[in-house]
Amino acid sequence: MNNDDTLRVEWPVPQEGEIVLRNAATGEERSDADLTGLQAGVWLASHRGEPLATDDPGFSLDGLLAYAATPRDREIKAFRTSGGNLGLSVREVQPYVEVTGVLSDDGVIEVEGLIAYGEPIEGPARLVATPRKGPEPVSGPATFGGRRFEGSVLIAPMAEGQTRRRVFWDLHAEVAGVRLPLATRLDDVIDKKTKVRFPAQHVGRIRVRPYYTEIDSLAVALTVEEESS
Amino acid sequence: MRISYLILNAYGMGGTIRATFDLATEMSQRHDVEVISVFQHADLPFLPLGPKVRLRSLVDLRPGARVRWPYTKKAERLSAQESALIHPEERAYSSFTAWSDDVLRRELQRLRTDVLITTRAGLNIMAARFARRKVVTIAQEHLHFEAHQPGIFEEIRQWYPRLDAVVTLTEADERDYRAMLGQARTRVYTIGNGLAGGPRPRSRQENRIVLAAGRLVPVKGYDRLLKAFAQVVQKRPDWKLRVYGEGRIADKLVRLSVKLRLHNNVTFMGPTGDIEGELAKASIHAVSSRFEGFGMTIIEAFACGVPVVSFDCPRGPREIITSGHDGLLVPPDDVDALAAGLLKMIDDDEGRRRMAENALVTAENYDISMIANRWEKAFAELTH
Repeated sequence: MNNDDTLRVEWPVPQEGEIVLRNAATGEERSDADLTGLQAGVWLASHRGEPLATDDPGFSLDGLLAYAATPRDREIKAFRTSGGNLGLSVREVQPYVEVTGVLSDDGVIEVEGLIAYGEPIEGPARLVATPRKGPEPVSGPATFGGRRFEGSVLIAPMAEGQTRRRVFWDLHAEVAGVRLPLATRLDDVIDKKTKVRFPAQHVGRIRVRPYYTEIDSLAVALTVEEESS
Repeated sequence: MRISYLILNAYGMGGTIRATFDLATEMSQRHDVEVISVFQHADLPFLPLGPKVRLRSLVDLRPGARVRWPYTKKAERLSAQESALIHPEERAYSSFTAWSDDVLRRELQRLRTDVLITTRAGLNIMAARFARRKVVTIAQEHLHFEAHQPGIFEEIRQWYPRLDAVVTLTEADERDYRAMLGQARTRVYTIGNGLAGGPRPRSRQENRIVLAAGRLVPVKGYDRLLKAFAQVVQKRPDWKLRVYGEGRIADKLVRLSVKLRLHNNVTFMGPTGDIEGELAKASIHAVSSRFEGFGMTIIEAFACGVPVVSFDCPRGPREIITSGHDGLLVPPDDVDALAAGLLKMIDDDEGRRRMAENALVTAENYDISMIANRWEKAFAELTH
């Protein structure tokens, strides 16, 4: 899979015949190496009517980050199916910040990341935390340096106005009125919500813990802990 | 040659089932092979079995299953009683009943085959007691010698001398069984598990990922792996550890991982049905076990071009890994040594790629066709 969205297949010995891509959901077939215009979904590759077996693990963390360095609205990933065959996944994408590190200590939540599928940005920004219900948004200092993003937000002001038992806060990077979501998607880890656990901090009786949502966005849960626990 | 494999339950998933199916499939190219499953709880086996291998079961546990006349009433009565023939310390004791005793004994007394291979202590003892004299009986031990409780060990000591052969996974176990069998005519062979043929994915050695796999239980030593990896990320914060599997101490390990602030570097991936695909995404396989009976994932890692850093624990790893050639063995129980071994493998890019190449060659020794040849040699010695 190249940055210009062409599919390149290396054979142990040269092969005749073309590679056919079949949409797993609709059955639509395509047979050219140029993948522009491929509809969103999963496409399975075949050659002479047989699934195309591959010994390529179809997964490169650096490759995914490098691919996302180019602004684009459609992401095409080549992958190896669990049965050992070549597949492509096609997804509509919008610019966001790919989170590469989260720190949750000392009364602060700090986030590091890289812009994915968007133009680079230079200069100061804000890390904005927005509650889904209740209090006002809270923000902290952030900077963009090309693709790189760093930002932090204090947890005490988030806990201040909490009256409900639990409030969820969504996180964004904000610059010049534009909001970029924070998420971790450039890997193969499914269901991060249950697989990744971040450290919890406390503001009085309120437990503050970052977490991944069902769409792998970074969010924070503030929960009033019961007296007994 | 007629070869019969007797297995507890061929319809589940697990190392013994997979190893037995792969071997039976390979053997079926040249022999008349059947797998006899003591129990059956599903319509079809979960793991793949070659089309030439016959599969049948003795006790049908599926809902609505009926035992044929004239055994119907007897089956009902005996199914409610505990097994008297299987020792209560057999790890699968709870599966057995007085009815399975009855069925199994009758099956063994009438089974006409050339070679009978039984796959766990309880079944090995049953074969020693009840199989016909003309049948060559081979007991396979997927557990290591010291894993048996004293009570069942006494039965092993009493009955195994009646068997024609015991096949162990490691040479260390072979020595132990030879010592136990003393003057008995029973032969002992070491034959490891084989890798099924077919294309498999190969690591490109490009992802900064260390993989560990196995049940999340204390014997796997994941607490020490996490502590070692905390040292690794101090120096190499861009490396990640992926742990595959599930088990009763999962939550404890997640809490330790959070305490060590490893949330950016360690992911508990859960179980996978495609461990080779996951191995090929990684560059190093870590084994932190306190004990490893064989180490099938070490062989699978090798076959995917992934070198291994392992504690030099008893028994499997040291017989599979040649330290410095296709992996690194570090002193057991030593967290600092495991961290140092991982860092050495991480930092020596060229050495790691060389070891990855060597690992592919080592894995060929465990190819199922090579393993099948060793079984056939044993059959020839035992049946001539």
